[in-house]
Amino acid sequence: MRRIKLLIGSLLLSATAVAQYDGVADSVFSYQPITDRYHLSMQSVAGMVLYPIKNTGKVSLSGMQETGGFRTAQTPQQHSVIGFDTEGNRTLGKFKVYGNFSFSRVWDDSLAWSQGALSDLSQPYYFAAQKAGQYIRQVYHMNGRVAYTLVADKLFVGAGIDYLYNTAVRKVDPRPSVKNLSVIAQPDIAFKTGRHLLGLTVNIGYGDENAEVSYTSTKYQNNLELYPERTNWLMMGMGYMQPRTSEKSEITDNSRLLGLTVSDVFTGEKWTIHSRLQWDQQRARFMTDKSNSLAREQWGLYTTQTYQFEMQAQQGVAHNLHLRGRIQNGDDYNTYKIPNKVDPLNGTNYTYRGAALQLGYDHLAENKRGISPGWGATIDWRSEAKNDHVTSHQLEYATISPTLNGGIYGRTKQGDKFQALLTAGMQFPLSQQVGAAPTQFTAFTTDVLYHDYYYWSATYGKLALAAQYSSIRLLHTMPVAVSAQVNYLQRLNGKTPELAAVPLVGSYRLNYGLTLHLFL
Amino acid sequence: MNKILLTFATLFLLAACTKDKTAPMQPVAVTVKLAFATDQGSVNIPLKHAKIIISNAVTGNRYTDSITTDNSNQVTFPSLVPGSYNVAVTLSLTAAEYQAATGIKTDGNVLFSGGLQMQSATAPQNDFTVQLQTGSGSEDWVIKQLYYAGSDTKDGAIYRDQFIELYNNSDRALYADSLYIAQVEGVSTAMEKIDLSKGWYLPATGQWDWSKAIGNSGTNLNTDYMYFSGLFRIPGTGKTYLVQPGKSIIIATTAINHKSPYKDINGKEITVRNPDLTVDLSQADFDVYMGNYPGTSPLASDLNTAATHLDVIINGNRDLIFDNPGREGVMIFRTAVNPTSWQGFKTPENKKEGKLNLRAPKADMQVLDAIEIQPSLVASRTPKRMPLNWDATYAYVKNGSYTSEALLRKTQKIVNGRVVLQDTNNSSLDFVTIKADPSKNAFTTK
Repeated sequence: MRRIKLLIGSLLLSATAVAQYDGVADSVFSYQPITDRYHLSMQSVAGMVLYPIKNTGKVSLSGMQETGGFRTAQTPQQHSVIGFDTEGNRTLGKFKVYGNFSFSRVWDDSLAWSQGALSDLSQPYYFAAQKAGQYIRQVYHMNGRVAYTLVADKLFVGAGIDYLYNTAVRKVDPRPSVKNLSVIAQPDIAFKTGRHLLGLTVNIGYGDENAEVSYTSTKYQNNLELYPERTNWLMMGMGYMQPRTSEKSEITDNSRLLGLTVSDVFTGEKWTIHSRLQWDQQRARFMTDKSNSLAREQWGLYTTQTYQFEMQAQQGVAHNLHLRGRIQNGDDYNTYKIPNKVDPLNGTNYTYRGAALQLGYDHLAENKRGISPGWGATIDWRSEAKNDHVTSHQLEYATISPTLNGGIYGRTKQGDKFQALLTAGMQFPLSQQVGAAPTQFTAFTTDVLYHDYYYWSATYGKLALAAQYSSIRLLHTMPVAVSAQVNYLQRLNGKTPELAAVPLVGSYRLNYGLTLHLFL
Repeated sequence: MNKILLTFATLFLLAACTKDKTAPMQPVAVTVKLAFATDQGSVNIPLKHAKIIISNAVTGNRYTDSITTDNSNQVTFPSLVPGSYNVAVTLSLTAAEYQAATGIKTDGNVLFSGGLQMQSATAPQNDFTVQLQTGSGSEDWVIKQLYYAGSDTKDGAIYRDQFIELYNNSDRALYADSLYIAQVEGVSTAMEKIDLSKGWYLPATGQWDWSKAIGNSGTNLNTDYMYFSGLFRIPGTGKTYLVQPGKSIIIATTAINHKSPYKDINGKEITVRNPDLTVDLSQADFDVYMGNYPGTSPLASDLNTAATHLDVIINGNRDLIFDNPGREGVMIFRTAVNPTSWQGFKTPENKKEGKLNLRAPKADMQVLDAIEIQPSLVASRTPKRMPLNWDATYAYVKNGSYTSEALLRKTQKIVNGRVVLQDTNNSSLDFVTIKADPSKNAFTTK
């Protein structure tokens, strides 16, 4: 019931937000730095208050497919999505509202070692099986925010909500059925001081995931020496795993999130600088589900501390500079036991350390003869370290990815808009380290740990082309756009596995999609 | 402005404090030390080449090592996951090596074995000691083949085609008369589902605490006795059923050709959809018939066949039925005592109703062979019910219930054309999985 109320509320919010056309939506959602600013602004009351466009919105219908063997082990060989997405903002007197609703139906093919809901590969506790199979997922994501001017030009209050619900099933033994729900409420306050608008947001989240894995064929369930790939494993880190092969196994994951976000929007003579610093602590408690929530027995705790920083400085649309950073540390506390067989570790077995930094600049030149050329450059640095201590499994890597892009943004004599953007980049491995105790080598070690080590050791080149054409002549009341994009990754070099059992990393990854937009 | 920023920074730092972090765990090491059991006498046999296998009781991961030097009696397995481990040890000595160490002449290899079950390894360093002893040797009857898994529930014969093959492993003809076949009672609940606080389990093993069985009294009730849910005896005068060296007898649940249609005791015709999945037991030497056993309604498939029926001393089932998943212990023995003098008790948790289990003093039995079976599925394995000195470990068919698979004892050697089967009292080493074969000609190659 709660889910239905939230769904209706969010739909109303996004419908209200997109209901009025100001005629600028196709600009907001067509040039990436401007779209980024829009989304950054809509994440806080401070951002919404100073966002200059009062009403805008879009509705999109998209199809996307991704395929190729250049992927991490717990990524599907083929990933297809059909999605519906709508978002927009509106100003109603002292209120500003924003809403977004999206629904995706996802087909993941040839996905192994991952029986969870959505891929969160830093997370230690999940079911996994070596047997690859096709997953069908449905993802509902809604978020909205309201800002209210309490004291004109001085004090603003508001609140946001983010709701995610998704399901996943597959039709191959062992077959998971996963339901995942998360809600984040964000009470928000902002006040103006000089040229700054400072905001403070409290993030309070709740999540619940239930993963149920069952066998329908006793042939597979009872013949695990003949079909070892059908074994359902309870992963508890990145190597520590226990078989869970009863007719039905279950994990219930209940999480709580508490966080703070500080936002600042500085409006200068020429530049607008939008910054935000966020800290979140999430505590996910893993339990064996019982008949009622009071009887749940906790056997695992995973705590993450996430720090995020984002800064976007813009001078109109001509210059855009952004800096994004993220540090995430995760530690588990494992108390899993099998009565009379396995004593609880009562300690930390799995640690995760991740960090990422992105610096980018984009420039859009003045319009000459109906065409504006633009270019940009981005550099990404990424580092991850995962350690499973009782099995001495370790994977660490760091990469750097410079990217250049160039594009044209134009208008035809009939008023139609078109754009094309070409992006080229490389990813270079900076450091990699892998290790596993010889006594603890399993299929997971070779299939996932070592496979991913070779994936992250590879240098690859990236080429992407995106194009969009929009016209108001079709519906007359609102612009309609069609966009298409193709991304291609090609492995250029990499290490060759010394162990024959390690699956080879593929040579390419191709992603392509088509989207129809209605700009409101 | 600076004060505001300072306040925010302090808030972040305070909020980020967490108390759940501990120093990361580490793998553990297990050292397995070998010693000869005290009942082996004072022996000075070198342990070099002793093979040690430890396996994680939950994941089934196995680690093998051996002693490589003359003066060592131990091996260490480093970097193991904390958990419970089973240990199996074998030491094979040639006749010359054995004679050099003991002065005793033998006609072939001498095997020592030992094992441990469910040993907890959670400390950084864990020491296990395994007592080695010789097997019961090749001097008498052994269980050669045990077909307990049955065949497919839809296309096969389910469990009505089960059988056991007993083998004369000696070099002389033996009479099968008055040989006893027993099914050992034990806890059939998966180890991980047992609530040890109930009071009727032995905390150390999870097996029944027979001292808690109603009416059971005496000393050492859990160690000096075996408790049988089924006990059968081969009939005869003592000189009726002569079996030559290297030959077998087959004891069937029901001695018919299970591949062919038959009429059950209610006159209903039973057919098998896939005859290849089951076996022809029409040539079995013996079977069990419960039709004249008082107080029992036999299974519809329990035909009164032409085969010689075993004497049923006690049977909790409606026929000779081995547990399909493999929660079973089977032993063969001789006794000079009339087993009807042994008392019967319900299992310790059974306060009101329940079947009786015969309490057999170990001192009354000459145990010839014993095998413990466990489910193929690791999570379903049960407390060990057979004493370690009779079967140090356990065996199971690889693919579990209803798979037409049987356990077959390995061939140790061939002497003048006679196959001598391996019996180290360690069934995980002594048995392999085959498709059930009642032809009496099933042997592994040496």
